[in-house]
Amino acid sequence: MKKIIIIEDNKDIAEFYEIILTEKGYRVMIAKNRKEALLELEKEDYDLALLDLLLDDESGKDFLSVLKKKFDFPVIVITNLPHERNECLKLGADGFLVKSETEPEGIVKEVGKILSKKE
Amino acid sequence: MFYDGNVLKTMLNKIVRTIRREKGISQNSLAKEIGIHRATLLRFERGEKDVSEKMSIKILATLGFKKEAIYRILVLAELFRLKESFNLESADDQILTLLSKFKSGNEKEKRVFNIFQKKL
Repeated sequence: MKKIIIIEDNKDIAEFYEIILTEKGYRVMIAKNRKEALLELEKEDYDLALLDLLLDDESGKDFLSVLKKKFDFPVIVITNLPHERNECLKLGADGFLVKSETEPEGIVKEVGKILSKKE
Repeated sequence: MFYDGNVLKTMLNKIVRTIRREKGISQNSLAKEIGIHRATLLRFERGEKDVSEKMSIKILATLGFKKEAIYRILVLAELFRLKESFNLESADDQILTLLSKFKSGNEKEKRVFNIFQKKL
């Protein structure tokens, strides 16, 4: 069973992602900030991260770089900042979704697509 | 910490209270259907902090909102927060795009449109 970490400081949205991904058979963990995410990622292996770009109201682009340098799993950025697409892709994001432009099904499809590329 | 700001809670609890009342459902009945105490629902409708997991989503789903609408509500509330707190430039277009989906939706979704539109 694939394991996904959701790095998102909005509790309701994080829980929503947890519900739709768990329904599809993924094991899911939520981290609400960078510190929690890193603590969790040092403890367990993950297959994919879903990363909100505005964590604790700071830009998560530097955290994206950290994740790509330290870990081997794909990272999908999911954000309210559509103008950050190019920069995030340059920093190594494996996928980039804009929250207002994506339906729940689209999120699940993107996760499935990125995970199957990895195999 | 989880973001748990006033804008988000004010909008979600307003939506729940409005739709519940329009459907003629008492707090007791809705609480029973969700499987929570009436006091818990009362606290939620007052905008107090979530007391249990996935409360907002459970309540919206029990009121008949589909998954897609629930997600749009949560994202809209977040966009309003970002707009108010950080004057996020790209928020306006995204808010309008999401609102247009509610405007052309069913009666419940149109009520959501009205609630959010008042914040514009």
